[in-house]
Amino acid sequence: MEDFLVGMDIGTTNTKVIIFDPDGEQMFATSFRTPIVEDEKLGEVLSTKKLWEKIVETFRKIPEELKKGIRAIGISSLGETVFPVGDEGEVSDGMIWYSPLTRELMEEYIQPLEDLDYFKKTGLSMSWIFSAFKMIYMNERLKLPSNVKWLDTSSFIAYKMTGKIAMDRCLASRTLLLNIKTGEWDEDLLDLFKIPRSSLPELVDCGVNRGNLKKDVAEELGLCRDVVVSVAGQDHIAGAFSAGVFDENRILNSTGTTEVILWGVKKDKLNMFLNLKIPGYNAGFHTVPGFYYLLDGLPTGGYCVEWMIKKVLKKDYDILKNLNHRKNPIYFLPFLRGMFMDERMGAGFLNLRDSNDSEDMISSIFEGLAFEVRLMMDKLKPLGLKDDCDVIMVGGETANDTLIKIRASAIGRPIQVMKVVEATTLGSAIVGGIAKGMFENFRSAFERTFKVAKVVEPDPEYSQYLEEKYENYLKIRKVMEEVGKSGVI
Amino acid sequence: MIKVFLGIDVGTTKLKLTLMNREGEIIWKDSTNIHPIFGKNGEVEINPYDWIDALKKLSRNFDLSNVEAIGLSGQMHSLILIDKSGEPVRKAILWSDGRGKEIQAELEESYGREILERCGSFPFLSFTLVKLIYLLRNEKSSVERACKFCLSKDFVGGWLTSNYNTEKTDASATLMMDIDRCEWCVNEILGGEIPDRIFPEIHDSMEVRGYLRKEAAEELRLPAGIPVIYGAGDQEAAAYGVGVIHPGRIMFSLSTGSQIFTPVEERIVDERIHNFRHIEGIHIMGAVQNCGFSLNWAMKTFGFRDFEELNENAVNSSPGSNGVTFLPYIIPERTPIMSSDVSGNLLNFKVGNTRYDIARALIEGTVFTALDAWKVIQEFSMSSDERKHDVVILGGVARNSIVREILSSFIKGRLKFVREDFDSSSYGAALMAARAMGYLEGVEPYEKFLERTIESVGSEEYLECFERFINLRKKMFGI
Repeated sequence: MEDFLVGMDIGTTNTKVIIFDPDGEQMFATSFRTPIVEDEKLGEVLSTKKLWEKIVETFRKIPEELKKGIRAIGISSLGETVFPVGDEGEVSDGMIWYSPLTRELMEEYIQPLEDLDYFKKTGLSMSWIFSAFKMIYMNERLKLPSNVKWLDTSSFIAYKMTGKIAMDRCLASRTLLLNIKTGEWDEDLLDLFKIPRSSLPELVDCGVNRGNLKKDVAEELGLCRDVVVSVAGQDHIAGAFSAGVFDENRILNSTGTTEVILWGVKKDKLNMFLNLKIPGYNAGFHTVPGFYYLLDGLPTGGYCVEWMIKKVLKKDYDILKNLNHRKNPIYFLPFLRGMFMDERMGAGFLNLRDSNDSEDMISSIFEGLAFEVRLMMDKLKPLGLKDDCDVIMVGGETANDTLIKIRASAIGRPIQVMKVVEATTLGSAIVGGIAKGMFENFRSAFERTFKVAKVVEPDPEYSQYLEEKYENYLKIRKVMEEVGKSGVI
Repeated sequence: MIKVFLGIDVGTTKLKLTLMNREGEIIWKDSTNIHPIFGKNGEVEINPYDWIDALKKLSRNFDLSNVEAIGLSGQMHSLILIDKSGEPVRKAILWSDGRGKEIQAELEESYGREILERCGSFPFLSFTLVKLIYLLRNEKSSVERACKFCLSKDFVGGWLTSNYNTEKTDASATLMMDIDRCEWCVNEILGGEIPDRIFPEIHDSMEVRGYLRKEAAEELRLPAGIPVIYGAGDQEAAAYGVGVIHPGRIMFSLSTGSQIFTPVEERIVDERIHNFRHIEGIHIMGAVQNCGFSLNWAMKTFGFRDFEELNENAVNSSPGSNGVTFLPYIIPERTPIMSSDVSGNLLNFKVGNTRYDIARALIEGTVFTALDAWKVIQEFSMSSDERKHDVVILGGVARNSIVREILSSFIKGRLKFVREDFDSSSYGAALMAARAMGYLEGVEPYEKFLERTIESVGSEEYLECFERFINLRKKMFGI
């Protein structure tokens, strides 16, 4: 009988459960809406109870013949959301990663964190979303007992399945408590936040065997008890692993609601990064042990396209099929969640002329996103990102050939599109396989499963046009940043 | 038989007729489309006989045998060159033609102030002067073949009577006439670049141009020999039609473009303002290019079916459009910023914003652009001391309920909204004919066509949004 691997990715919008064979071929896929609910005390939370119920329900839907072959489950998830687990195993819901409720709290800690030179410790730039702020906020609001243990979303599911408590370094990188140089919890940061060392779980690498399914869970899910559970870390990074982006000659453009550029580096480059500090980029532990990732993201990438087509034009995605990309004068600033961390200036269409139409507007959205990707890549050049590196694109936007063509032309190099759309879930599944011992190591697992669907080459004519437009885009972007800061909006 | 008066409005995209009785009531009105020809280099031209054909076509739709007199109005600033027999030597160049930007720049640079002081406006691309110099420099043979230039309504008037001369209002809008003396003065400023022979005579608007030619009368089934009044530019005719004749009243039209028009005691020397002759005296005018034109464009581009659907969406948002701002400058703008260096911008939309907010932002941006010009004209209007205005509001854009809400929040005074189906220019032309014949003196017949009057005390509801709009524009364009 064949062996199968389950990849599970708990995302902000959907949770995907996909079964792969050891060659990375997708056998079965299903998904459900991630249960985010409103909590009186905590605002929007990820419901642990509902999430588990949905998972159980989903496993029941898997055909029996596939179920029998399942050998391992690999889990990846959204970051920053954490859950307190009591000593009797009782778990509370966790604030969703983007919850704005910790913003004020963050303000109090900015100076003390600066004093500790927190960036050099964590590789992170200031944001209210990190788990440490959520832990303090939830502790205050819920009056938690002193002996709780904090788990991230993937670790929580691994705990539900195996009964064992641990946290992987990849997701722990988003707590603001992990020292990126040592790979251990940072005592100074724990002191600052007054978070006891005992409330944090043991740190492990991605791909370690977290244990077999508990007897009752195996029965509940209809799986064999010898199924191994492992964690692949945060979603984008698990995707980077399956795309082979831990090698410094490759870079990942992960697309979907958000738009991410991710580069996998070794410790020497990490140290350079910690000294240079590149605006927008954060660092963390890679899914692949021994590597680190550098990640920059645009909160609204593909969402800009969705917003324009569905919410504004009230049209169907079909209109993209016949879209004719033309040179146009419009500049689109894709900041639907506000520009950078400064929320005052939102997205914009600039330089509209009476000769433009809806198609020009959509083209300008594709261009704006391409320019942001280009900018994110350009920022890595001082660290040694090579001009001829392989660009791998995964996620929702890969279905759109016009968008990829514009992007390839804007960055001036070919874009490889992965065959599997759910690169993250594939990454999670093969991490499960690694834990089970089905692959020799991370590299061989990637090499066996990585497949390219298409390579989109840049169009020389558009490259030249976009090169000129990019220069202007950067100027306009700067102007709009200043307009936003001026308080006019 | 009841005698009636015919008003003919020679427009850019339509030719319109209004037939009025001696009581000022409308007996019949009709219109037909005109199709200007657009060229690749910004050319906007028309064969002048298209207007005559349109007139012939419409004249078949009603019995015109009892018309007593004819009045004319027409789009301003256009250039038609005719030979001795009144035949056009080339196509008419319309006001919206985009050629001659370099000439405009040159006039602005070398003679801007002098032209403003003597002719009443700062040089802008639309004016006849720019078009005439363009032809002199690029198509000299056409000017050489011509014996006279005329304006759109004067071409039609010439075809009716054989008199192709013009009158004060249209002459003042060529930017070649001394606005105080009502004499051509442009050659004194430019040093004789334009041949003197091609200037038409300038008459009073209410004067009789001539009497209807027999051949024209037969073709139009009108009585031969009836008087044809010189008439006026479409803005002046419209103002005349809605009683904006003397200082103290303002006409605010919001359609393809927006114009704010008020008669003044003395002319105003200000680069942002046009001074033109009115039927009597002088009026000032602010002209906005990005009004209905931009709104229509934006509606189409953002997928709104029509004005109604736009409004249905917009009412679900709130004043200020939840932060979304539309700067509608997709074409160069006149009052008050007078700049070609502008563009359309839809700014500051976020995940939480909806189609409702976009719809409202489009409307707000359009009306704020018009109000920006309004504020300039208001400063110089007679009634500004008491800050209460008698304002007649016209045009399709003003039909929108949100536009009305914003207007009545900004404008203190009596806002008279004219019925949409009322064509003020052709009505004004007909009224000129009636008054020239001694009827309808001392009455305000247009009041029959008011849809509603709002006594507005103004409010501050939109003040903040308007200021944000202006500040954002200043940041974006530096003006």
